Amino acid sequence: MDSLRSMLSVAAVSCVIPVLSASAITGKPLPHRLPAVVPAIALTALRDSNETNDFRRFEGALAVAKSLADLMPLGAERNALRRAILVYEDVDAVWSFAVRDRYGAYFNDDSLPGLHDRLTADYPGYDDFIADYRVADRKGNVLYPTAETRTFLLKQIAP
Amino acid sequence: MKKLAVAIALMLFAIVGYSAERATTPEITPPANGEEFLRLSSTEKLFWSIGYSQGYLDALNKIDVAAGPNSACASLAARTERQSSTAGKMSGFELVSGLEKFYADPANTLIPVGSAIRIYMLQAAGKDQATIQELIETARALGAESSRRPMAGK
Repeated sequence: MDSLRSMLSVAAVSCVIPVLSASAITGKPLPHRLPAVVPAIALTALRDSNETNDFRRFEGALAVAKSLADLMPLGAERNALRRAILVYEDVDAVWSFAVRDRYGAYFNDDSLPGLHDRLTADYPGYDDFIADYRVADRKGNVLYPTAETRTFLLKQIAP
Repeated sequence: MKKLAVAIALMLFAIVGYSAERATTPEITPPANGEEFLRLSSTEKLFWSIGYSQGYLDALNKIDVAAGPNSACASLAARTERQSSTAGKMSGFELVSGLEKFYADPANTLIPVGSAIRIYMLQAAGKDQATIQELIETARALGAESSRRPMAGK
């Protein structure tokens, strides 16, 4: 299983992602019938970049996955990829804030407006999960940790 | 027989109470390097960083008492060590965020926390990139060496 995942990962890095990226840059359309393995490779690249904590690779893989979803014909496979992308977009929102902001370990409504409320509405169990980790500063502002939020979101995609 | 039963019941209650207390008592092991720091939850990181800053400042203030107010030791503390103290310069939130970013690079995970804080503070103060990179390389080498040595206290 591990060797299969690593093979998929290598294939993603060395073949599929550069081809898709080049296509995105040159504007040359991809064939409408994509091999069934391609979405799986894109998802593997997203998962692996999270496991290795590689933010730049994650952003690249997310862009590729989005353009892939746009090209796929309507159907269950596309829906599954779209659902995963929606979660990964939330991961991206939290992770990019953590990477770029000086106080990125925690967020609240001032730093990421509306995010906590949206996550609470979209993901059942998030509010209870994050309640154990929230802290309040000396002014009484409640803050939520980005690391645990990211962990929670990634668990929503885990097979 | 009755007394024995009461004694056993009391003992069982005491054991249950003790284990319940142990289960709810938070235990934070101070991290030595990035590997250990990243294993902590965000709350643990925050509590630890506040304690670290406060402890560092307290230790600096005690140098006056231990070494004498005008001693070489006290002036060294005032001149160099106080500069690397986080207390009063950055909040616990910023320290946790800075260390998370610093240790996000897998090559930095073995760097001791004290060195990582100094480097992050210099970075935040706008020190030139060449000096920072040189410090990081040295800290990586020291971290790798200390991880090969068996720890005395462990």
